[in-house]
Amino acid sequence: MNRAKVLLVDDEAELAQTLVRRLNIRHYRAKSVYSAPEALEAVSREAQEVMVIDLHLPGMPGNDLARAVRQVDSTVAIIMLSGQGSMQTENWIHDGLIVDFVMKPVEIQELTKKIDRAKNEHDARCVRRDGGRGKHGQA
Amino acid sequence: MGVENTGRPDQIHYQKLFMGTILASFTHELRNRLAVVQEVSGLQQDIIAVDRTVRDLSGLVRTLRSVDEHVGNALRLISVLSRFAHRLDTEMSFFRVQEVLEELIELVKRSADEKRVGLETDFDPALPPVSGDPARLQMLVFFLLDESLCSLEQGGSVLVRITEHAPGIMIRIIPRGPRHTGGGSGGRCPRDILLSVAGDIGAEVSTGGVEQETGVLLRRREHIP
Repeated sequence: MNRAKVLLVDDEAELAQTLVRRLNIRHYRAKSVYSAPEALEAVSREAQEVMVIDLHLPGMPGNDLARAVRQVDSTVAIIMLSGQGSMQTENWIHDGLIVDFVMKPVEIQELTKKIDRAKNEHDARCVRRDGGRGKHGQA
Repeated sequence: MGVENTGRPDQIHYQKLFMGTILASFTHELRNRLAVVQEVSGLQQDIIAVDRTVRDLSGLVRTLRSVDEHVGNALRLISVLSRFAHRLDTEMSFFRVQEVLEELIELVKRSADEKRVGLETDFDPALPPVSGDPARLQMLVFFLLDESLCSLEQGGSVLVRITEHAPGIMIRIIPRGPRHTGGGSGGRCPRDILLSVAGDIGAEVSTGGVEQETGVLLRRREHIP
């Protein structure tokens, strides 16, 4: 199975790096960045499939970053990493800003399940964007 | 604040806001520490499950050091919150302003970090104790700090300085760096409420000077009122 390409955004560098290693052991193609500007640069430089974004990022809340990311690439499927579930996160899912959220501390099995579902959503968005011409615009 | 809530009705909403913000910040920080502990120990289990043995002993030692450090930080934070909570045990007591504000600053550091504004302190360690309500003083300084933090652009900093200043102790909150345009204090608690809290603890609040610093003069009392 082609595991998702994942970009994890969390200012807690040790947490992010450890989660990336755990995902890569499970054959995901995961990388981490530690701030909103770094995340936007990464998205502009290279297409991402799934992003896991911490809600409480210094300088720019995760929901604002999610909006900025979707403007650069509307196919990225975003999972919000949050200390607590809230009405807001449910609203963001309803509005299509994010596809899911996961609570801290993260259970790795739960996270990988959500990443797999998010990758499916990303792939479906690519098909819709390309008008059913095939994956990532290839006829 | 104290054991019995003697706060005026117009202050109570802000007392709740103060406590709620502190608790949210504390639980956020504690959860982050424990999340790292969970992840690094999970990673070690993953590595052992793949390798079926501990091949990378230095990696294991690094993991254990990291766990030790994060648990230590979590315990230190719990001690700070515990002291903070016990400030509410009695409404009037002798206390050292520098200790009371060190606790507060430890607990608001996270929200300053989120705003990308630095928090610095310059406390005279030799200041004598004062009498009064330390919890109410923490609330007052918390909202004055909030005003300063909200007034600054990212990259700014707030200096909190405590010095002896007859007839008491002066707490100065000095914002530094570029300000948000549009004016207004931007703080979450109106000044009239803060002035009433200050009045309750015998403190005087003034704002002015080139850096628009806020001063809180805490008058020294010889005994507990």
